[in-house]
Amino acid sequence: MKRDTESIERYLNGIEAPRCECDPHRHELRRRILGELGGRQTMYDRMRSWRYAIVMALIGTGVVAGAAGVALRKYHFIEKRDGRGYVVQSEDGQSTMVVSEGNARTPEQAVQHAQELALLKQRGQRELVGVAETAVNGQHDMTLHSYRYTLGDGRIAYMGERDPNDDGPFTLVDGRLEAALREIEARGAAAPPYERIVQGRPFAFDVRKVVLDDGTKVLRAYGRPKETAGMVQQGDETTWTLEQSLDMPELNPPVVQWAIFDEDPLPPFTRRLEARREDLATWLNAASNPQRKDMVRSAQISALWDGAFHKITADNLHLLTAAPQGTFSYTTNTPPGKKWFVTKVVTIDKRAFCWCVPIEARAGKSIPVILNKKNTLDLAGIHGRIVNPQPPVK
Amino acid sequence: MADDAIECDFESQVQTLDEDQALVRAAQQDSEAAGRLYDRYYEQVFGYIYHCTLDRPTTEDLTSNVFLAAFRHLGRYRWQQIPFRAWLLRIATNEVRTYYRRRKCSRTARRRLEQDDIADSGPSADVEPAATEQYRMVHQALLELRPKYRAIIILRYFEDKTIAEITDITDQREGTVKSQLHRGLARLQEILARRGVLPE
Repeated sequence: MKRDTESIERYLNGIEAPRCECDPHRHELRRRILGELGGRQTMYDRMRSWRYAIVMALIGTGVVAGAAGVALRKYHFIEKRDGRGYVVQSEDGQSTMVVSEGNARTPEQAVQHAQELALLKQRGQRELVGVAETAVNGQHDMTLHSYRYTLGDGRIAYMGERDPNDDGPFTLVDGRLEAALREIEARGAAAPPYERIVQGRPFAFDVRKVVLDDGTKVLRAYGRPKETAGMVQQGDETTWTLEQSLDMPELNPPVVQWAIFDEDPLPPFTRRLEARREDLATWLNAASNPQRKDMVRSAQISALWDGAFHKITADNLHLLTAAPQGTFSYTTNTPPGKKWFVTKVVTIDKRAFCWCVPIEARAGKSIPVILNKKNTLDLAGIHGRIVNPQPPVK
Repeated sequence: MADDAIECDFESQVQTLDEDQALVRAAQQDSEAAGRLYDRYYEQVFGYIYHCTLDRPTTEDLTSNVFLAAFRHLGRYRWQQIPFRAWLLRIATNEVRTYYRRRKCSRTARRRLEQDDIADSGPSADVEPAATEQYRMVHQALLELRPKYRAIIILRYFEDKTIAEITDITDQREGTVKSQLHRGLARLQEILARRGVLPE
């Protein structure tokens, strides 16, 4: 059998395969790949920022209930919570985790994820990257630790845990903690910072306080490792950050163009509509059929609303795309103050709308901006009310 | 002396695997490591695809696809299954196969549209200056083989891969690779003999 192919084998072994050099392609492709990776890693690094870690640990309810066991726990799936992720619980019921949808797409993956975290925790392969302490009416209430885990496939995951030394009972429960955090983010006042050793590592705490509507005084301290605290502090003095997310599944493709405006663009839009009401109505009524009318209406709205973007330079016009369970950070050193987060016109089911979200930018602050169905601006509705088209006269 | 040579070779292979493993891990978070990983395998992947297609623009396109796919999905790569080099060549093999399948479909469609008798020669018909005449003839003959035979022959004789490495790349058992290699060679011999390149 071997003899059958001996001559062809000899023949092939005697042929020298051609070589082809292609340096321009090599360099171009290298640049492209590293560019893509760089972009992804920048985004990844932003997602891993200490602030994100702590907020995710708290808001994302990846909070483990007093988990301090030694034996490796097995987890099982409990339920899926919309917008939160998958709730999994250890078989002994001592530990509960909420695995975000960014880390798991199915209950099975959530269980695997939880077990991998449990294993890493047992081995001590995690790093304490944040500490959040809360005091209510002058009394210590709760301490949360945020740990960073490096998973087997190289991904980074964060998980928050209640300090095992905290026995409770806790005052801020049943959503009150989240509400308090939102209040602190919105109108918290700075309090004197302090330093403390946590698990043998020095942490610098940035403290803010607020009095809730019911009179409860809440003080919140965010601590991060002291060696990185200075860098963040320096940047915080002059910059402010938008943490944006687009939660609009109906939007296809899920992307919007946006810019920051110093003035509300809605009044000029309505003024332009009113000034040109007759022309616009005539043009609209001249449309021969409903489809054509929709098109004309959409064109009018886009021209008048998007016209406000003419003064925006290209480097200040951005894209925001949907990222389930994630936010995109945008940091700027432009002067803080009252601003508007404004998008260009988008259309769903032939109805034009946009987002025009007022924000209060403050140096060193992070401002969440979530674009969803609830905070859309119905441009088609405004157009309809002002232009008020009459049916065409036959 | 021979024993020494084998030992050295083995050690260097192990070392390459370890280095690759470290590089792949690092490349997921570090652009510099990604660049080193790319530099290490660009030539090998490019050369392999060029030997399969014998067409430079196509090779550039397919090589881009391979590396972009690999680096986009670096997180999915698992060491326990195959070495990184084999994983890249597996992606490359699939890219080449897809390319020929699409090319065949588009040529069929074009024939129907134009009613034109287009010679079904490979891209090598556009004479590539780098290709030796002898290789060009073999390549023409290889194009008549089924893709699975073609890939194995190129890997074995022009990329100098061992049967074990081809097993990793093609995700087939060793026996299957050997039998496909044998059948492919027999068929290639027939084709070359028919064309007068080899004696009947």
